[in-house]
Amino acid sequence: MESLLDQAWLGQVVNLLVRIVETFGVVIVFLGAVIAFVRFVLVAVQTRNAQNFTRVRLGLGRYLALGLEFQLASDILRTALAPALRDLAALAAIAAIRTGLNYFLGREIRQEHSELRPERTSERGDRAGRGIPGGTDPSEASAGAV
Amino acid sequence: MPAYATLLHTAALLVVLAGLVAGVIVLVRLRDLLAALRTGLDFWLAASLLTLSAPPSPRELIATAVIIAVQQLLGWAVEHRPVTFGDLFSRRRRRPDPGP
Repeated sequence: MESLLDQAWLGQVVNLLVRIVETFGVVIVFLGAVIAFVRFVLVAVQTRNAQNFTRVRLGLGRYLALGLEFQLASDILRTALAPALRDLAALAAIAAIRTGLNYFLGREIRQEHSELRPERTSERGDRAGRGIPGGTDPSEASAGAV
Repeated sequence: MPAYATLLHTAALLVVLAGLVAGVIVLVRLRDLLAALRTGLDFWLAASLLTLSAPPSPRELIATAVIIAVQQLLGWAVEHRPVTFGDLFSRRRRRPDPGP
């Protein structure tokens, strides 16, 4: 009887943890979308530079990846509850979708980051060439990037 | 629990709307359809993630998975276009005549 009570208590605790961690993920994804939207509007008002829009998209991608990590953590916690086979199948499907998304999102972020990096390096090089403070030698900048 | 699911669906709808508006903003400012589509797809991906967080029925789960797969496919397709409009209208270099 006592062990049953313990199991039920443990189940409730894990359920609560799952809910909290998943809510964190949801809040991060939603906040990321709201922040990205506001930044899109601000960038659109201030400039027409495509790189700035790409930077905002990169930021949104980072928020999505972080939210996905939290959601995957909640999926892992959920497996501790020993659910029924039907629930387990749904959980496996959701976890597979999230893992795949996380992979593709990470790849996209890395790719766009590497596209932006050479331009930043050349910007710094230009500054250094014109004697503007904050600029570094191009060779030094590329060495730092490695 | 239904209140939580309703809240999530409302949030997802708001994010879909934000994606539409952001896509239009990018299209108007940059006049680049590809960038606008990618922007919208990112927001719609966020909406799909929010939808997945509500406990979905198997039918909803399959629908969301298909939507995400289509979004990823579209994203990949616009990244790897074999031919662009610019290619169609650009001048091709003529090979020099080898001569007699």
